[in-house]
Order: sequence, then structure tokens, then C-alpha cells
Amino acid sequence: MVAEQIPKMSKVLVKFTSEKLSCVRWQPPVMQGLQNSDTFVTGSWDNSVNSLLVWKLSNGDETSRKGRRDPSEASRFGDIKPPETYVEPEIILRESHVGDVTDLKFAGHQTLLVSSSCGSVQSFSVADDSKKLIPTQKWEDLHHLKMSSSPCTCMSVSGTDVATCGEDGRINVLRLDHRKPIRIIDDADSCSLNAIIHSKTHEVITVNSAGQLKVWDVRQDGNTPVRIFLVTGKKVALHCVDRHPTQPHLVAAGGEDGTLSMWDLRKEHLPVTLFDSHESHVWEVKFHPTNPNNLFTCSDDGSVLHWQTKPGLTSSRPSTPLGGFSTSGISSSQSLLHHPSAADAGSAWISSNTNMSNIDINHVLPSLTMPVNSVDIEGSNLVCGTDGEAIYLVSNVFLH
Amino acid sequence: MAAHRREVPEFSVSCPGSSEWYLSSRWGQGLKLSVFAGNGKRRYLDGHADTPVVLADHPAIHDIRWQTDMHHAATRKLAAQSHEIFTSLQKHTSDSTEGTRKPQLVKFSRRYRVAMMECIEDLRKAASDSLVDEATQEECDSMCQLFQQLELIWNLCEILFIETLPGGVVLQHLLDWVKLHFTEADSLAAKVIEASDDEIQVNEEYWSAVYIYVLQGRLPEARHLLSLHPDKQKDVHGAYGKIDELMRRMPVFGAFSRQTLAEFDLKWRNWQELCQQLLKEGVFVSYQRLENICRILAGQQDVLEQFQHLVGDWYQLMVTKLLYTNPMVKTMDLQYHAKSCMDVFRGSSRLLALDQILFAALEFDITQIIKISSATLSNWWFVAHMADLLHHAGQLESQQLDYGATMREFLLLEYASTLMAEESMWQIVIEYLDHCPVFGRHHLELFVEKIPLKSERKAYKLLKVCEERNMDDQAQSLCKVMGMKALQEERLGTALTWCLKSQDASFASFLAEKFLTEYSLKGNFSNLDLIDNLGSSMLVSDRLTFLAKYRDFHRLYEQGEFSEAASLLLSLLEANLAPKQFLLILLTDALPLLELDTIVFSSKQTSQLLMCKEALLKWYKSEEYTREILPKKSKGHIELEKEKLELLQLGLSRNLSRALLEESVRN
Repeated sequence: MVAEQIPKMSKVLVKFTSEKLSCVRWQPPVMQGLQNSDTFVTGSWDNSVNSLLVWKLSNGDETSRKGRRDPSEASRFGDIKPPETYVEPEIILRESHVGDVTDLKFAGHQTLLVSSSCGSVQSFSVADDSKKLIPTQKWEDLHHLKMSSSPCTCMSVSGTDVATCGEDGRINVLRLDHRKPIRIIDDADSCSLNAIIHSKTHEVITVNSAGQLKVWDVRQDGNTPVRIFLVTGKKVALHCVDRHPTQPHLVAAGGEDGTLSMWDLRKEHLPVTLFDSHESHVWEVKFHPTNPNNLFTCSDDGSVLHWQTKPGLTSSRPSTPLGGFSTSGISSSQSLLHHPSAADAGSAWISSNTNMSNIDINHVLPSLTMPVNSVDIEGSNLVCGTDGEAIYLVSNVFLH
Repeated sequence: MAAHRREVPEFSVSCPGSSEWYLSSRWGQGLKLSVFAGNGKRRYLDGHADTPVVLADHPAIHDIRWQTDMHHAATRKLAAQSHEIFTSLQKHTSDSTEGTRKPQLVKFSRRYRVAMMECIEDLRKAASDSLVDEATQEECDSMCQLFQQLELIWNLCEILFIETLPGGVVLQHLLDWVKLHFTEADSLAAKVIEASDDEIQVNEEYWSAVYIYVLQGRLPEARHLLSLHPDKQKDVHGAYGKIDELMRRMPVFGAFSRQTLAEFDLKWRNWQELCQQLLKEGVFVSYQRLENICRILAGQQDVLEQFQHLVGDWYQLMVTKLLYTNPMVKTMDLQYHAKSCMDVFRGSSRLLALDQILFAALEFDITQIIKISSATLSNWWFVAHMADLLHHAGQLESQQLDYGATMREFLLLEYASTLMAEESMWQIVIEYLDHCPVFGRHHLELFVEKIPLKSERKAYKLLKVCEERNMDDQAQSLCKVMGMKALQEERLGTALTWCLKSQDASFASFLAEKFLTEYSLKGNFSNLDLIDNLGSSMLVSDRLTFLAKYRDFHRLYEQGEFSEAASLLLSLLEANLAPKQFLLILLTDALPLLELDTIVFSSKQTSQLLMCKEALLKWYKSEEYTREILPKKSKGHIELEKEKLELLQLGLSRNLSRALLEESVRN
């Protein structure tokens, strides 16, 4: 196990917020890839009035600690502790929000999009110091049913286009600066759409509550998808979906029974691999944006898992099926799949001999009792938000 | 089902001066009442409760809540944090051995206290926040004071009931307790030092700080402060040096020192004799202040009375007294000392709640602590968590209360119900109810049903709660509620997924029929993505199986696989899965197959089709049909059906003859 030999320890920091958090997102840094972000946004749910919080990591020292001295150590005659450098997130802005915050997305560095359980999407312009959110536009009533509004469940950003989906089974494509959606697919799905992601500029992938993954070309008229993929014969709702950052045909989705499914969209309809590591709903799945051999999932069972493919994988390794996960669909696909090479590291996720020895799975957090609703990673900093009304900030996550 | 005894949903009080309107109210979730001007009950009694009333103006509904002390942002943080500690405590004690339990319990107790301290800090900040109005500030301030008291009590209980005390010598812990909660000396000392440039200002505050340090037994701090005294440098009589030496040499009975009690006792007596001797010798005669200190050290009672204003309160006096007169006091004897100190401070005046609770703690009367705390401190958080911790420490006798539950359970239930009114805290409430063995389940069942379902995600979470606890009825009704909601919005696909989750056969049949009606009206199916991929879940109900198979027939037909389509159609007709009204549609579907150039129905199959047709005709003549369905059909509709049947008759007989001919040729 590579991860266990790493001397660098990741550090977990907990902050209670007095609200249940539905979503956390890092703000992308000005120069992406060159610097690490120090700002993230959280959204809450289930309160009568919910809120958006903007957090900033501050390099705390004794001076910033002075305000919250423990009475027991207030003595001036006590020994002076050596100044300890540590990172502490602080709330720099609180903005109230109507309805549950269902998703947060950044379009570039300065535009923040917030979707609501009332079926609307609001965009904000983030001030340079992140201390102000200036509302720029609101798309009302994007998702609605015959008699009432319906929650917008997820958004996906591609350039200036934003695709949204909702429990009403509708897909909207918005363009920033356009007042009206540029494309609406009514009745795109007969069930609730739970998540959406762009695979190409004009192609989106959705997952629904009947265990189907669909690919849509938003330029085409009508409400039929290009392709439909299924998990299994069982109706397992899919809650979240993410695409491999460099290999867009590789898609991961999390289901209500705790499974993580991997599809190769160039191939057959069933997932190539199914991992069964969570005990309950997988609420979010996230490939590391620059290190796609790493994947993170969070679940209703209170755990956050870090999945990583092992480096230097060779194709000659014999496949030995292990308990705890199933390899349905593999037998039919074995001949179709090309063997993974070192240059094609992404396919380790879907290699025909995928088993536990190819992929390391580690817990990121100590076990919690409350569901973890959202996870996001930026550089080596991971943040997650829970129903236990706390954020967990993990710094120095080890990545391949 | 837990529905047999529920509270009256609505009650009303008649208002004088109005014959029509009543002060009415309805229970909300938890400790919440919605109060409004209503007349529902009266109309109900009059027997026309169902007729809608149009109100001229919008009536106001007042939302009344009480015991909301855990809903404030700062206290809510405490609720979330302590919930986490609470659940890990329950998990911990179920899988730990007797040996490791005690030190672990102390850790849990400290974690609770850390959470309380954070809460106090947040409340203090909120109380001085200039952005909020004065009333809120005041509220925060009073809550802050309350939690400070609670923390004081908690700490004492931790020392007395949870810590392991070697030989029952408790004094060192009590000193820490006083030091932690009464920091007046620290602030005084800090003030004095900050105000002085290079030489210390010797004023009243300086001496107060020194005295309090000595009274609290914090001699290193006192010595440090004394060493800053300008006279110390030109200490001609050596008085400062002597008092410093005395304080340095005071023996301390540490929990981890290796000395026995007898050894310590000897050392202590020697030291105190030294103090008395120095006093007698008059070393400090010209240093009134130093003499006072020495008199405190020597354990003279009268000097304590003189410094009563610096001591603080009776419990601080008790600790000081014990420190300088009886440092080896056992926990069991504390109550006698407490009583005498209380008499000094309170005399005959009434005891405050805090006094009573602390005294009850020193008397080891846990029931009394909880009783008084519940009655006077208006906060269930403290008593519930305290009782639970003591329960795990084996200190709380599990005596049954009159109504069947133990004290711990009663308190946990009370605490959980104060959280119920805050809608988003339902997950926390559920976990507390889980740990109430007698009534928890019952409360849980009633509670779960009343949680509003605003989004599917919330429904999923709640469904998981029900499934984990085998609450089948509640899970079933939750799926039904979500399904019905979707149905009302005409989202049949979503309705079906919820219905399949609960394996609700009758609802599935109902929905399948909806799909079929939609087909018979429009001639095509909606929600194909779902129906085509039903898989094994179609087996939930016969109707749904029929729907999926019928859709299969259409697909086969479209793909041009006519003979497979024909036999599937026939098996559908014969299996009797279809609703009666749908039979004609099925038979009509056979028509194009009959008209094909090649023969797809054999003579045997054709006669089976004929039999089905006869069965249909027979049903048309039945009483059920003529009475219930016929009157609903329009004239044109009946004509059309008739025409279809005639066509069918023609097609069937033609096919029969062709088939017979071909079969005879083949043979």
C-alpha cells in the first residue's frame, strides 16, 4: 500500500457552522494550475432561511488567536507557546438564500452560480477580495411542475454555457448574459434528473432516479437522448456523476445503494466496473481536476473515500475477482477493451483486470455518524460539508 | 401502526364577544403551536366541516414556540457538536471493557466542556455584536451566563463523579476548578502589569491580585507578582525573601507524586508550624500585607473573614479553607465543610439555584442535582447530557419513574422535543430518540411521519432512516406520499420509481392502468425510457407486467418480428393479465397481423383468438358491463367498437380458412 508509507500526514480541521451543508466548492484560483485556491463557498439546506458562506483560509498565528483565548490559559505568567503555523478557515461573508442550496458552480474565477430547490439559478460576480457577492442575474422558474416549482438538482458549466437539470426531468441550457435559456428540453426524462455534466461543448450526460445514464446532444431537437446507459436491471437511483478531466468518455456515477459505477461511453450499455464500498447513498463523486488518477466520493453513511489507481500498472496482471465489488459487464467487454499502458493511465479505472489490487481505497475522514453531502478538492486541499453542521478541511491529501 | 392514540389535532377557546370566531390552535412539530382565529371546530360540531369557507381578509397564523434555547446560532453549534460526542459515547460504551472505560469517560466529559466553552465564547461575541438589536444582545448575555454556570456545575460533577481520585483526595482538582472559572486575579494582574512602565505600580489592585492568587492556592503566580514589587530589591528585613521561601516550600499533594498520605501529612504539619512560628516571631510586623499572606498560609480563620470580598463565593471559600487547614480532605467529607461555608456567606438568606445544585453535588445526591437543574435552569441540554454521562459512568441508578421510563430516557426525550420545533434538526432528534429504549421508538414513528418532504434528496435520507430501523409502515407511507405528489403533478415516471421502491403492488397496478389509459386515448406511450427498461421490477404487479409485455409486443412488431409478436399477443390475451376494457385494443392489435401476406397465426391460434373475442362479447352482455361501463360510453364510441368487432370477425375467419388450407397442404 503506497499511501501508508507516506510520511506526510494529512491534517483534518473541523468547523461547526450551525447549518446543515449541502454543497461546498473551491473558488478556482486566478491562475489555475499555478497556485492554490484559498477561498471556498458553502451552501446550506433544510433551514427556513438558508445561507451561502464564503470562507477564506488564513495563516493563523498568535495574533489571530488572541481573540479566542481559553480562560485557563489567559495567565500572563504561563509559559509562552511557540508560534504554530496552521491554516484556519474563516467566514468572510454570509449571504441569505431562498430555498435549499442544491448546487454551487464557478464559471471561471469570478462568476458563482447557485441553484435552488425553488427551481431557480442565481449568478453572482465575486469581488476581488471575495468579500462581496454581487448578484448579476437570476433565472426564475427554470424547473417547475404543473402546479408547483421543482428543485433544480445540479448544474454543469462549459465555457459560458450552463446546463441545469431538475426533479421535473427537464434540461435547460443557459448562457451567461442571456436572460432566457437558449435551449429547453421538456420531459427529457420521465424520472427525476439528479445530476448533469458536460462531456463535450454540446453534449451533456445526465443521471436519473431510475438508474439510467443518458447522453444528450443539446443541438438536436426533440427530447430523445443520443444514448441510454443502465446500471443494472435493478432500479438504483444515481445521485451524482463526474467525467474524467482528460478522457471525456470515462464517466463515474454514484448510486443510492453505495455503488460507484464506471462507464466507458465508447463501449456497451452496462458499466464496465462497479465498486461497492459505501454503505449508503453516494452524494457526490469528483475526479481530481489535475490529478485524475485520484477520485473522491462522499456518502450518506458519513464517510469520504479517496480512490487512487496504482502507478506503473501492467496489463499482464492476472485478474482475480475479489469480494466486496462486482465486475458485471466485464466478461462481455474483455475483448473490446484494449490493454492499459502506462501512457493511458486513465483507463486503469476501467481496465479489464480492475480489482482491489489496482485501486487503493482509503478513508479521508474519521468515521462520522452524519451524512457527508458534498466534497471538493483543489490542489491537495479537500473540503467537505455534512449534515452534522460542520465543514471538514483536510490539507495535504496525498496524491499520485 | 402508532396511530391509535394521537393528540387532538385542533383545539379552540371561545372568545367573549364573538359567536363565530374562536381562538384556535394546532400542534406543530415539537414544541410549536400555530394559533389563529378559526371556527373549524364549531363547524365540525355543526356537521359541515367539509364545506369550504371563503375568508374576507387574510387571517394571521401565529407561530408560537417555547424552549427554543438550542435554536440560536451559537447554541445550535453546541447541539450539533454535543450530538457528535453523544453518539460516539453511546458507541464507545457498548464496546469497551471496564478497565479502559473510566479514563475514556473523562475524555468525553472534557469534550462536552470544550463544546460548552466554545458556545460561551460565541455567545459572548454575539452579546457584544453591535449589528443586532438590544433585546437579542441581552438574550445572548443571559444565555452566556447560564452556560457559564452550567459549565461550573459540569466541571464539579466531573471531578466528583467521573474522575478517578487516588485515595479520594480531591483538593487538587477543586483548586483547578476554582482556577479555571474565577480568573479575576489574572485580569487584575494583567491590568497592573500593562499599566506599569518599568517599575510596577503598587496599588490596591496589585494587592488584590496577590491575595486572590494566594487564596486560590496559585502560589507560583503570587510569587511572581510579589517578585515584581519594588521593595523586594531593597528587602532590608528579609521579609520578602522569607515569605517567598515559605510559599516555595509549601508541600503539594500531587496525584502522581509517590509520597504516601502520612508522609505528606508530616511535611504539611512541619510547614504550617513554620508559618505560625514566623508569625509569632513577628518577622512581618512592619509588613502588614505580607503578614496577612502568612496568616492565610497558617490557616487562620479570622483573616479569611477579613478577605471575604476577595474570596468570591462560598464554594471558593470552602476550597481556600480546605487548602490551608485540611488539604487531605476526602470527597465524602466535603459536604460538612460546604455547609459551614455556606452559612458564612448566605446566613439565613435564600439559597440560589446554583448553590443548591453545587451543594447537592457535594452531597453526592445526583437525583437532586438533576431535579433542581431541570426545575430552575430552563435548559434540557445540560440535564440530558449530564444524566447520560452519569448513566454510562454507572452513577445514575436506573430507577423507573412512575410512567415507565428511566430518568435518563425521560430527560433525553425532553431534550429531543425541544429540538423538534427547529425543522432542520430532525436528524439530530432521530439519533437521540434511538437511544431511548422504552418510548423512543414510539416517538420516532410519530415524528418521522410529520417531517415535511420538500425535496427528493430529503425523502431519500428519511427513507434510509426508516429502512435502517425496520420502520416498514413509515417507509411505505413515505414512498406513497412521494408517489402521490408526483402523480398529482402528472409525473407518472417519478411516481412509478417511488412506487417500485416500496414494492407497492396496488399503487403499481393503478399507475400501470394510468399508462394504459393514456395509451388508449392517445395511441402512443409516454415515459418510454422507463417502461422499456423496467427489467425485473415489472413483477411487482400483474398490471405492470402486462404493461411491460405489451410494450414488448409493440417493439417486436416495429422490428418486423411478426410471429414472435403474434405469440406474445396471444399469450397476453390468454394469461388474463389485461384489464377487461383493454381486451378490444389487444384484439384490434391482432388485425394488421391477420392481414399480412404470410400467415402468422396458425389455425389453432386463430381459434384461440376467436374464443377470446367470444369472451369479450360475453362480457359486453354481462350485468357489470351494462350497468357500469356502457352508460359512460358515447354513441360514436359504441359504433366504432362494433365496427372493430365486425372487422375482427371477418379477419379472423379469413385467417382461419387460409391457415387451415395451408396446414392441410403442408400435411
